[in-house]
Amino acid sequence: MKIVLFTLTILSFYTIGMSQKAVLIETESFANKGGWVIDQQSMDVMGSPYLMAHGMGIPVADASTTVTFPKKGKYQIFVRTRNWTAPWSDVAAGRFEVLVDGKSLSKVFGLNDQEWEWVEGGTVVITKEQVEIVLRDLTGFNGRCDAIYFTADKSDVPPNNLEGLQAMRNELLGIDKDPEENEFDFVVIGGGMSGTCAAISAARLGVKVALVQNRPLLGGNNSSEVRVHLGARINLEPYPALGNLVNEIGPDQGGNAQPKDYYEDDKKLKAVLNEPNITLFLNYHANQVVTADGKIVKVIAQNLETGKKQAFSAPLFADCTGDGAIGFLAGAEYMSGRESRDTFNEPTAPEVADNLTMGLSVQWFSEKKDTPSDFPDIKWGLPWSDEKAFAITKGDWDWETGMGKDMINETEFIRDYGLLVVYSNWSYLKNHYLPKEKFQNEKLTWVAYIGGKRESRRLVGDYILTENDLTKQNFLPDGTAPTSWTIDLHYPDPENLEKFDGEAFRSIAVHTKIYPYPIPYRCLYSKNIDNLMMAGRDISVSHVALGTVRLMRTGGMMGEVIGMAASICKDKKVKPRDIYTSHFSDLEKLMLKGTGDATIPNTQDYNLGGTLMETEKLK
Amino acid sequence: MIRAIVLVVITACFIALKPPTHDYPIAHFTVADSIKIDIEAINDSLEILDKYHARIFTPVCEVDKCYAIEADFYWDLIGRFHHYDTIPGKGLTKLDHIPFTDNDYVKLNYILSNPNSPLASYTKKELVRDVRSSEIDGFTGATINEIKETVIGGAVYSCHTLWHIAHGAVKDSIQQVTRKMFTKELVGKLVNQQDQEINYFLIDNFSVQDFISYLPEVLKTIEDGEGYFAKNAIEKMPNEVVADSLSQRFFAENFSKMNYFAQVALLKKLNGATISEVLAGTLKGQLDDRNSYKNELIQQLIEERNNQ
Repeated sequence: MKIVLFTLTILSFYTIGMSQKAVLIETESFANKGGWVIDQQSMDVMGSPYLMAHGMGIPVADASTTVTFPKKGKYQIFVRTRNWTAPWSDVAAGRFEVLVDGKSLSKVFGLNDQEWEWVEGGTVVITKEQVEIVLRDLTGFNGRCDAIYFTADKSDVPPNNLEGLQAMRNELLGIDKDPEENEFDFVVIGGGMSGTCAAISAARLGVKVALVQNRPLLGGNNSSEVRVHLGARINLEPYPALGNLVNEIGPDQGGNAQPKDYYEDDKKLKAVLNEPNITLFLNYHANQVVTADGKIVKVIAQNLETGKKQAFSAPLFADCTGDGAIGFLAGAEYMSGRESRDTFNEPTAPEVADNLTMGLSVQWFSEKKDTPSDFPDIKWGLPWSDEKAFAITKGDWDWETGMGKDMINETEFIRDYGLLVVYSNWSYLKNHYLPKEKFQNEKLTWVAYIGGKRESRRLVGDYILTENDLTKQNFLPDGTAPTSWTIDLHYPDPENLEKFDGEAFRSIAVHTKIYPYPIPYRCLYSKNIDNLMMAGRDISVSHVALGTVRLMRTGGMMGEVIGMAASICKDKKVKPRDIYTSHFSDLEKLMLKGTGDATIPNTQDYNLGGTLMETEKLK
Repeated sequence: MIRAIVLVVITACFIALKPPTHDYPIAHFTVADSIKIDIEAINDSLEILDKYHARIFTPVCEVDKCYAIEADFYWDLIGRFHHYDTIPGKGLTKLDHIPFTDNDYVKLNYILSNPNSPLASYTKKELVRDVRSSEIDGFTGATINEIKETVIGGAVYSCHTLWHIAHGAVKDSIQQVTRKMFTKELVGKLVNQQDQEINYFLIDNFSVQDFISYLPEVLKTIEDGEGYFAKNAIEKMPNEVVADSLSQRFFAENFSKMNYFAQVALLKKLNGATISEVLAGTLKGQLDDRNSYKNELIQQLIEERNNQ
């Protein structure tokens, strides 16, 4: 396989753009990021990846880069940023400075409104061709900066609207020009468990695959960035070989919000790197789709740091993005929120449809040290008290926010609220909690800044799996990967909801045990986009049925299946739907055989979840 | 009701197993901490094995105080704990000999009725250390909460001891006894309970001869089965039993009602068998336009039949 990265030459070409009078610097392209991290989770909404100072209360190291100016002279400076705590407080948490050629601008940034906007930074005189630009964090609390704009034209004000901003980027950075063209048999977008398994499964069956992932590592919610352990069962009837691949790449030990090593990022990466038929595109976010005649012709992805674009043409695509992002861009039918009881005659569904989804987890933990450590007594946190405090040292899956909000368009707000409550609680425990000495030696060492989403869009296939299929064991002839976890639906914790003015950040789970149920193949491809398959949480299921299929081992097995389907599509020159009608026996035989290594001892024995009697009997 | 004593030994050394119409000991049974209990088999009015019973008598110590527990325990025919009865004049007590309240008895029944209780994962030592920790806060709270739901305050050891008697090794031992007592009447009685766990117990324990002897009962379990039961039962059936004329008649009538995976299992099992005309007719009727492994298997069977 080959892995596509970037070079510094490309970097400087693409993300520091200039005209005769202006220079635009995307911060994600800074050569030295210091302690700042790239956050791309909201780039489809606010327009770009950005740098964020995720220091958990300790200012992070400076980020810096060197910019070549077109000419010397006086420039007006604008900094694109936002005040992330503005929705909750008059005090800004994430403050930072910008230094030009070693001198700080006479302004602190991050104090503005809650919206992303250009903030005036005053003027500087550029006296030499190459100048160092530095971002200096002042708080350690998630200050963020998207871009810096230098203009010699006094009347030139960069646009805040996204269209104008994009036009400016295109003009100055040329990021829309000349994407590199690539052709593959199968393009998998999303490198979580489902996408990774889809890519490996297809590659092992002779398919040339591109795997496009918008983070620097694979694993998605099971990566060390999110730290949710794998759940549900593999190697079940009617296709016991499904899951062998999940076992190959899955971490050997379980546990949410554990130290980084638990999640074995390298194991997943090495598995992909070992496949000669896979080309891996890490740090590429797919955000454009070209369609024709009801099918996807091309997907275009942008490098998170350089802005460089790659275009992927293929006869077949897989949306393993979780958010159904590719399907959405292609015009695939999708569902979101909760369907009404009448929609699918589901007993667990609400009488009236609504927009409640399961939430996004921001997990965290502290570690006990030999010596005491301080934590800032923050002034921008939520009002807290002994009664509200959670006197704990780890936040698990149930630190879950955003239930009822828009999981796509409000991702940043939802994640930020997760950060806000973690910091509010921790600051209180360290500074005000009555028995605060208990936490004296505890140091907050990890807080997720990549949120763990459970639910957003569900793409509609030729079949929509519902609660009744699961509870009545309505086995269908095109059953594939078995879902075995309970129907596990999350809701805001009522007590927490009341204590925090209707904005819960703790959740409860309501479980209904099921017998393992083979997910119909028709749930794994789009109803109206002919060459689009899905695996993971964006498959064709009702909200209630999502409660069980969303577990990552199950998603991984779906990936194994669509990888097999991709090989049949290639060999027979057919579309995913044709497999159901005309080539399903081929898929059944592949599912019986599997694409994973059956000789590896099964390490996936943690977090299996409860099922009804049948599986227990078959152990 | 006729009772027969079945004393079971944990080492599974059953001696002199006899029909449960004789009232004499057969073996011994020992649970943790060397508590010995005698298990007796109880027949119904038709003298068919019905359930198992044991009088539990054991000392239990909470910290430095000990007291006796005495109660009657009942299990069903596959060793699942069913219920307990107290013995008149010998009510249960907690620490300091405080008698159980009505709520305590109800809670004990609730605790003992849960085969998946977290108590299974705790040794006595762990239970006491965690429950008695003075640091009941966020640092240790998760474990404590797990246990709180599964014990009665002041009777922690009792709950633990009794749960392990109810759900421990006794289950396997009872199943061994039942297995050796299969008769047409007993198997018929078990199948009529329409309990899938019992049905799995039967097909998991039947010998080839049992499948032959109890074929009508096996076919009934397939008819009643949900989920993968029919598939698993068919896969466990010896080939000659699947090919039997009674089976073929049954499958000819029931094929369309079976789920896809049971159908495929049957079609695989029929490979090489002489298929009756009736069953062949049913199978031909199941061919459909959509491609599937099932279709392929049916076509193979029909072709083989035509060549025979």
